[in-house]
Amino acid sequence: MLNNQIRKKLILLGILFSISFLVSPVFASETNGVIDTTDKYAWGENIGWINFGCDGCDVEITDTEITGYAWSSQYGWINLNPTTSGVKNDGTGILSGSAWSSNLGWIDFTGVTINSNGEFLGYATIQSDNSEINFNCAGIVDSCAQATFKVKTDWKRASDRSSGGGSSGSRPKPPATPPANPPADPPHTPPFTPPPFSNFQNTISDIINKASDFISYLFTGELKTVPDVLVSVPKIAPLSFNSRWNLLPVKAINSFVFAPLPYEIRILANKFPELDKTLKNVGVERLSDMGKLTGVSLNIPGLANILDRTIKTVGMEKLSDIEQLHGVSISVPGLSGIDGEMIGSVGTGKIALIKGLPVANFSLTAKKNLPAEFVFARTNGELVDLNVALSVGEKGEVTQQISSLPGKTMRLVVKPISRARSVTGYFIFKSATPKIVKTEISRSSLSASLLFSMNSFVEKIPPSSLPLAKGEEPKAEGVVENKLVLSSFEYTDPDGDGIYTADVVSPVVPGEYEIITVIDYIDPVLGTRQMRMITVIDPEGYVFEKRDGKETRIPSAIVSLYQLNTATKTYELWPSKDYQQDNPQITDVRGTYSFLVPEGTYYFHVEAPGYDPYQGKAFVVSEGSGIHMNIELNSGSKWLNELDWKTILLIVVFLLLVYNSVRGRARDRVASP
Amino acid sequence: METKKRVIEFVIVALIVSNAFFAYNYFNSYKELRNIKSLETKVELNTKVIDFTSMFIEKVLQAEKEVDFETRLSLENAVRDLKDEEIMNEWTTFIGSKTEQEAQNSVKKLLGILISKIQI
Repeated sequence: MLNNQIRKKLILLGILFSISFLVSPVFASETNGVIDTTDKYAWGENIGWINFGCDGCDVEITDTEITGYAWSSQYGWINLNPTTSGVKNDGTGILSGSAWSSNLGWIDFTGVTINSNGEFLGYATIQSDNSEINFNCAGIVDSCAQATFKVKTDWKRASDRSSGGGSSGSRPKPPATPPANPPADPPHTPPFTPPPFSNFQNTISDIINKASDFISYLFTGELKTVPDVLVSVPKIAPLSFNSRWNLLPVKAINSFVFAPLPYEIRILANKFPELDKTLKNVGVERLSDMGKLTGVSLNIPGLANILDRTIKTVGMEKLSDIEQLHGVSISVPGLSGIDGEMIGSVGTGKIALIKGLPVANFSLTAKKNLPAEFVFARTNGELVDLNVALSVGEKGEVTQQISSLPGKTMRLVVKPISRARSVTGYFIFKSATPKIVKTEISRSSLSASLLFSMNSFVEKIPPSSLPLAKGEEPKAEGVVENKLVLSSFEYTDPDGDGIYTADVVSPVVPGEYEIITVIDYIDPVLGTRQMRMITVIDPEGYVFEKRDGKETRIPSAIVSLYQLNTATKTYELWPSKDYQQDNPQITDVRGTYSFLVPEGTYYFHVEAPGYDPYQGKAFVVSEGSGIHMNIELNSGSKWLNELDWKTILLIVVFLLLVYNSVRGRARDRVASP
Repeated sequence: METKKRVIEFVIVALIVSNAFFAYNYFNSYKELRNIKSLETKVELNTKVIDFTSMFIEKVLQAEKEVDFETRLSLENAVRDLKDEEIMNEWTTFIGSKTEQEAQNSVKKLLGILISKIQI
């Protein structure tokens, strides 16, 4: 009885099992479809055949998505359901979403549908190049005449599914003709498709890896080395890599590289042929070469040196003999060149007038050839030329610069290019601390910043923009420069030789000033032109002693300056009378002194009552530079100054303690038997 | 007994002091090590950026023919190895350039970004 019951149950179970076994494939083929074994190729206009039914492709179409891989013989695997996107099916055969290929990027399936026969229709788009993948040759444009292809599945829309029978039974036969140029078989190993870079760090596995790294770091103290990132790139080079384009803007580069030297330099090079020659010799011909001038000492033939040789040639070494040169045409670069011979050297870009020869005594030729619209500065009765150095500003602007000492009388010399109605100068305050710009400009930024340099030495200006002295009314309406004008002065030309001179006293306060020289030409075409020159007033030197870390100025110190005589190779007291100065000098109540000397090698000797004599090390002075060294003197009993009353008291207490200790021991020794 | 107690007390104090000393040394060394590692990371990144920049200039900007597959793969690996989103984005923009003007702009921006990434 029991056996019969068990047998019946087993038979019933067997029947149910058999029924379910028979029904299940029919169900699977309708809701979960696979790709037809014949109709499995799509055509990409740029990438060729794509196989959706290869071995290892495992493409499965469900009511919600398409999973698996497609194979392109040229570009490899295409992942139909990457983690961050995937091809979606809305259940009615309308596809959307994107597939991912490491070589092609994202492939957008929007526009692809599956019809009632399970045939794919429409085009997917490769986003990297906007090319299309056609799923059916009988699409919008019928191309079946060229090659018959389509992708087909046995998946059916819910509305097209039969209630009982399997859809696979009604599937039409695949076409007899295979697609043209069938693709090669893909490898059997499953593909590895790296996800896009932006999503790389957000995966759970990454977090786990990081946690694992951290734990291992805690125990071992060493971080795991991260393996190199391996990626794939498209086999067809993108347009950026095909070398057809100029990846760098050639026009902009050309305009930079071949841009001429700044206007100011060109003007100066025209005025001083030797400067032009030197620039060419050292390869500074274009704007991009300006970087070479930074930190490089150029040997530019100097006017003063030329004169020295000329003077020696004619046997007039002494300054008193220079008067004899009056009316004699001498060979000086920039002024006139008889034989064109150039020698000597001064500092970078330094231009000076003939040393010691007053302008009034210049020969007619020299006056004629004097560079026009260039301001020269001399001091001490025209015996010392102030170096006019070219410097590059923070924005690449080129400026002329001189330096002088406070309260010195300077003679400014300028020659207009034509007859002038008036030549006016303005002394303008710029800043209390002089800017040393030469060393601040980096080589890299110099050339670039020069591009934006628009200032010039000589610029034509409207009268309304002239600086105004105190109480002066503007000549016309317009923009007036907002600057602190300390004084204005007129250049004069008493002998009518076309060379204007003006004597000005340099400001007493050290700082940076600007001398603007404005030439008002009679010729209306020339109009009004201005020249700018930065004037740095160096502070005077002073003599001091240090006491308790503070400086105390020493008045009535005798400061002697010794100059190296190159002929005898000995130091001699500098002949100050030749330069209208005193040597030795006695410091005033502020302990100050000042010397404005020609180029040479010097040293100081300083004496003051109650102090050790000071003899400094030798130093070199470039032409026309003021000496403003601060000299420290030590008093003869310096070590006594270090002892204050506290120290002395401490020493006394210590000595008493020692005495007490010694005396106590002695007493003990006497007391002991 | 008293001596033993004193010895123990002395040992304890000595241990505490030595502990404090070693702890101080440890933290100092740890701090130093951290600084060195940070410096090393910076140097490593600088090297990578410079390597990629020089490769980009040499292989792409100075290229006289189409950049081959292997070089592009090396460049892609190098740029991803930098793990810098800004560089990656500009690189992607450069690769996806459709016109010469776009490519030039991308190159300018990319070089600018690369230089700015070098830490001094």
